[in-house]
Amino acid sequence: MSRFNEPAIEDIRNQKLYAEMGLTDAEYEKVIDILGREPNYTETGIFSVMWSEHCSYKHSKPFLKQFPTSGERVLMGPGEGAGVVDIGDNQAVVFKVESHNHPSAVEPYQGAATGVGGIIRDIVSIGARPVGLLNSLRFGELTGANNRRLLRGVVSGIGGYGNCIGIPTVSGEVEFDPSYDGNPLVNAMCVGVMDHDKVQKGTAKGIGNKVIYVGLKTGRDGIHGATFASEELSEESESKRPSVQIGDPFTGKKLMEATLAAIDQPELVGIQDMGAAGLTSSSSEMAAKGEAGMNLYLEQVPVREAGISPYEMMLSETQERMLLVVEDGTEQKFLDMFENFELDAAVIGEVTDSDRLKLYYEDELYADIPVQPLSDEAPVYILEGRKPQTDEKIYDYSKEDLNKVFDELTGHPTHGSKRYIYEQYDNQVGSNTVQKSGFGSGVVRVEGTKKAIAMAIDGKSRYVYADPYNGGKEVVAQAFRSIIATGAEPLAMTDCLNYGSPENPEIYSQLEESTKGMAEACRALVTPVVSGNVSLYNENRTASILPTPVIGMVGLIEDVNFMDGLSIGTGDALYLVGETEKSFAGSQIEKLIDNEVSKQTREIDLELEYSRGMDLRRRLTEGDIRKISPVGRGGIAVKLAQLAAFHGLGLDVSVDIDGEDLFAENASRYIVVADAGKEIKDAVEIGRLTEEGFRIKTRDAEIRRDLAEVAEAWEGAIPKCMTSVD
Amino acid sequence: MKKFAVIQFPGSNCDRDLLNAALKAGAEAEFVDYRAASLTGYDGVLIPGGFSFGDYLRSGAMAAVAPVTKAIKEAADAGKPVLGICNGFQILTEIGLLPGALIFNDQHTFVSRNESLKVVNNETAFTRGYGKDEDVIYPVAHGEGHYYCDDAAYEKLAENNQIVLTYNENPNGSRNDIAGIVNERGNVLGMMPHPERALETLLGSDDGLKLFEEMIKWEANHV
Amino acid sequence: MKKVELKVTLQPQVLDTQGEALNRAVNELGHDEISNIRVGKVLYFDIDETEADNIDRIVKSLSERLFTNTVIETYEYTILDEVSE
Repeated sequence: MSRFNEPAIEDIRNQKLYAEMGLTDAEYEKVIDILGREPNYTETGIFSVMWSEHCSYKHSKPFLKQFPTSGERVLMGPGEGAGVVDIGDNQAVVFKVESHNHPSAVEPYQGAATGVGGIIRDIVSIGARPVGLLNSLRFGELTGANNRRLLRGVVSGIGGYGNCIGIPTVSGEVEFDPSYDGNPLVNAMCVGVMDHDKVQKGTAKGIGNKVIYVGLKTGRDGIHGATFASEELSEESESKRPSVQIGDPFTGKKLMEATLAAIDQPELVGIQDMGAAGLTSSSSEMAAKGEAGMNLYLEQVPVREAGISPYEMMLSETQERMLLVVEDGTEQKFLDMFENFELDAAVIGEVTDSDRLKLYYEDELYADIPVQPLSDEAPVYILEGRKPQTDEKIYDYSKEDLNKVFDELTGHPTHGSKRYIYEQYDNQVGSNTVQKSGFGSGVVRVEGTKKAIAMAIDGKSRYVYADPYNGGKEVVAQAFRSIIATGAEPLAMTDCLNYGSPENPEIYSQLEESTKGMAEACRALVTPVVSGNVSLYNENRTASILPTPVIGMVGLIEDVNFMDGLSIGTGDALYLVGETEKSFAGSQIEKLIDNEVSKQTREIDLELEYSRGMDLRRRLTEGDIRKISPVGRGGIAVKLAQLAAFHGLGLDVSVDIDGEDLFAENASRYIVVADAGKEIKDAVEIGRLTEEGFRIKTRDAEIRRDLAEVAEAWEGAIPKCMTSVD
Repeated sequence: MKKFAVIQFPGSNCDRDLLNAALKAGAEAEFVDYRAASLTGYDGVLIPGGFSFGDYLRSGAMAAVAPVTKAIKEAADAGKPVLGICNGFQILTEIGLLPGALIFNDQHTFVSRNESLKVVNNETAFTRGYGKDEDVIYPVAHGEGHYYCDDAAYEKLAENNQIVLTYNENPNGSRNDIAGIVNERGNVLGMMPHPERALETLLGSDDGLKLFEEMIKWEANHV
Repeated sequence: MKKVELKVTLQPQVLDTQGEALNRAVNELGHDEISNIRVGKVLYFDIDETEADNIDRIVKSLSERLFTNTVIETYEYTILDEVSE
């Protein structure tokens, strides 16, 4: 193997080069067991990426197993690129959320753009046309210049990719909290629609069938720095420096159209996106699912520059690429099709009956690995968690100036208008967007039908930190509330688990407890998990991020035309649905006044959650009520401020609770707008929408503002931070 | 029945929307690949929004040297209606069918929102369905939508009554709030806003429908 | 074979929003001595031609047809060293 200058097998062992690639001593020994010999450089690289947390879920697998993954409507659960759920009429919705946290911290524009591109390819490789994008973002407070820089970069990266490829970004959520200083979270979700009979799997079957590579030429993008670090610095090594992955939405658009065209061909056997760990994961996973072997002839791979080694090719994370398996003899038809789309494509291998992945470069064998153990025998680690002590804390905000609290919270970027962000995203391309970002979930009509898909993404990390088990339930419930608020029936969900290091027992316990709560909520709210992603080790120099499970949920609206002309206006009555309790652990008033999250039990009744949500949903679609808005961060006061400011309506409200309870954040509550005098279960009529003025009366305090003041604080929350030039 | 060509460049992404708009207004419409050399058989040309050729180099620049461009110019010369929306407007200025150029929005960020516009010229064959100075809502979605032209060009536009559509709240810094213009002859219309996204109240506005309906009545309008 | 460096800039009367933003940022950093930032593009390409007149004709033609929009942009080019083949 003299063609490429690579470390020898002995050096990998003696100098423990495998450790630099992320394999432990025990994992390295296991590789030797599987191979029956010591791995060479290429093979070590392949095992290290396939056994990384990202690909193998080695710390999270046991937790993911708790999630219910099947249901009446689930056509395909986790395991493929994305989940598939029936929406009737032989149609299905396909969706997934994925994190791109670390790349976004390094280079916010490209990190976010490639995150969007990657999740789109996951949806497309199943055979669906994407109809909506969502994103869930977390940054440190915007008082920090670096956080402003990250926000600017991430938002323009998301827009730069999504706008160009022509998929509307219809909803999202953003939170600003010091816990994300230096470790922003960028989770992207894509939703697609397809016909049942076109569902594709990433599989390689049929001896002699051909493996086709299509998309951008492979470069040295995103290869882990092991080679670089172990070499003396020279001009040669300088040119090998791993580079940031760059998204190319123009090629992405061509690749999307070409892939959807390829999926219409009966000779297509299987297809998979080359995402993380590119060629390695796509080829080995396809072979594993097809219970076959695969030979790749790597000199055939289209490359951007000469001299890229098999190791580099297998680990490259060049974007905008797909791997296909097609019936033997039909490869030219596919190559011609890709040529017409002006894409690079090549036959790079074939399916074999050997059950091994063999990599050749000009007849030299660079890797020979049994396919099944590579994916099936990935290590799983079950560690010991440690539950933290519960805090003893009595909350009393009754002496606070509640008008001041109200102003601070309404004007905080987390609660204020996100117009600064969502106006940078094309949210209507495709001409099916019924409800876009601004207030509530996204709603996208299924083209040519009266059906629509409601889509929401949400996370509530402070609740999860306060009480991982019940907080986990609440995150799912919060997404459920967002979906029913559109009148949609919740169908299923996807999750992105963003946590710190699982090797820290307290964080391991957060993961354990919160996923347990999430699983229970999924069952109770009838929203199985059909896809997901895990991102661990989210830490900055001083601490771990708050545990941040993010839930993406979709729902079905059978006849979206009920939304045509649906509006609210002066004179409409406001209702508060659900009891308000003194629940402050993890709340925004606690963040503002106490600057901490205390670890205390939070409460949620999932049965009540379900029946209440489904009842309100029905009433909305029947025209009995005109708006449902779940109460979330900042409690009733902030919800009413958002409602008034977004719609440009005043309000006059009186609630029979203590003043501080306006900011309480207990679960399962809604503000509903309807005619006066309605009988709504567990609801009280609290006031009216008015022409102007903003007044909330309680037992012991009153918030009184001009509508213009509330609107200005809410509208200006983010822009006021972004005016300074960084 | 009128038949329109919807030009597809690599990177076009409002092509389906525009085709659907023409169909909804009652026309026939077909996609035509940018490599096509001829547009004979079509009664008009629709150039969709998107990012033709990735908008690399400059918006619309590479589309302007594509094979179909010659055929678009021939259609325009023959007096057929040519409508370019968003990226289509950028292409029309790049190929010289319309004066001026589109440059980066003043705030240098993409802007996507429902825009309130004024139909300041309802005497073109495209806009006869609207009242004089009628306010309409069409969505905008662009990063390079600031209409630029020099003083001489602007005076000519004003003099010939070529300014068709203006912004009520200028989203990008466009000169004199210009959102859409026609050529001197009145058969080539370019605009940044998206009337093809404004065909149904369910989606926020149906103010765009009339524009496509007028295009179908072309000869009757164009005596 | 020659290498050509082609600079494309906005014409002086056209607002350069990138330049303006950079100017503000630079001034914010305390550098009041800096002003009039204008941002442009540089293209590098190889041209299989050695005659200066021919190069001039080809580069000008392409610059006016494709590389620049002469309504808003202007350009200048330099012929760099011989490219080794």
